[in-house]
Amino acid sequence: MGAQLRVYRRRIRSTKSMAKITRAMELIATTRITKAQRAAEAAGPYAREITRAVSAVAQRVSEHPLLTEAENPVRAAILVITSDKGQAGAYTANAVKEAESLAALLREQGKEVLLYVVGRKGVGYFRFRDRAMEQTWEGITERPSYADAKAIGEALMGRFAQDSATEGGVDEIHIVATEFVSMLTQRAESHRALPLEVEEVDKAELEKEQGGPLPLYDFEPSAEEALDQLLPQYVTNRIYFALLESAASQWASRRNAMKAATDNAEELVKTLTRQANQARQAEITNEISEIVGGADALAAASAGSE
Amino acid sequence: MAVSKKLFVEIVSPERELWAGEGDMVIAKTIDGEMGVQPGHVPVLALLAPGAVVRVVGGRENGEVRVAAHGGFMSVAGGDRVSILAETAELAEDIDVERARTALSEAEAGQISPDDAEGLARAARARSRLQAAGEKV
Repeated sequence: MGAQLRVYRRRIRSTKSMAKITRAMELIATTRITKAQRAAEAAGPYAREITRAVSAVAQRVSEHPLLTEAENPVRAAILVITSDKGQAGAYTANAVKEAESLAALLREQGKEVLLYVVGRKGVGYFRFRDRAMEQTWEGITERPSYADAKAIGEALMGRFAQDSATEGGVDEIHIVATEFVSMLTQRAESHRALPLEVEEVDKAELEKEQGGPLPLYDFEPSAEEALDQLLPQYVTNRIYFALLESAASQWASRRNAMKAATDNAEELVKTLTRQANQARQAEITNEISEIVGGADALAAASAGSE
Repeated sequence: MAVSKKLFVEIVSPERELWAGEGDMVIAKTIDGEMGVQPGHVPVLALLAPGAVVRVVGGRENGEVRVAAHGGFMSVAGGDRVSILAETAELAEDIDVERARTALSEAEAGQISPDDAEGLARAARARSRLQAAGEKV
């Protein structure tokens, strides 16, 4: 067998085994998307209820440290949610890009930017570029739990509670997460988590749902204390939701990347098989012409000697 | 608005909905003390005491639904809709009594100082789990 043909065959074999791996990863990602989506759905009732409760209290009390904007913001924190593992297409790259443009914008406004990073890939990105990170979390992006969200929330809210002038606290907290638009589209988006803008449940919709105007709640023990407990829970819930959505996006993005990789590998196998066939044909043709040439030469030699 | 005879109760934790169904009365320990909610109650939003036990009387054919809830609140709306939200919540039948007991004795053996919020919360959580499971504490 010719050397060229052997090389082709080897490449076909390795490409085929690579396609098998990427196909398996694609299948795993597909099942994980459904799981991640189900987790996000299961978290829905709590998110809805807490939003409703916070809107109800916020109508009554509007004074709270988590709601007040600083007059002269000097420092802002960005929480970036990336992935722990690669092979997820542009998932991490997009989140990081969004975070970078947000950071540039904040710096333009004269604020110092602090980074909080979730996910090994994001940590690696910033570490490689020698960028200081305040705090990092790794190994939680694939299946985020509420406890993880709580730990992140406590770190961020603790920083927020500090005074920005004397203790180095932050005045704003932004979250960069990847929104799950559809199976094929995921978009990295940033939004401000603190100071809080309560996303109010649509009033008309609520009223329709409850069959009457919004009730005027009584608060036990008081509206202020209720807000004190509700707001941190609300913020934690927002973070939890961002983590869940990012997890779903991450798997969707990984599935797309792996599907593309499998398709490419199969295409490559097709091309390589054609080239290998051509090489084999060329080899056979070459052998035939050598034999014919040899026979001719022999015939010519014996004719000449007679 | 006509007052219906049953309460619609939802018990949710951040990760999932634990239980939803109808009941005759909800009894919960709030920061201010025990509070009972029957159909037709005024809208109220009450913070639950740390390590509270929430009971839904008549939630099942024979008896009540008990939940150990920690760090949450109860909201009553529309006279017959009760939602209980807790950062950690466990149904009585899902509670591992042995584990809760060990957790409690560990927390108590660790000599909790009054300003150790984490230790106190852990003890309160364990206690409420045991209470919800119907054990004596």
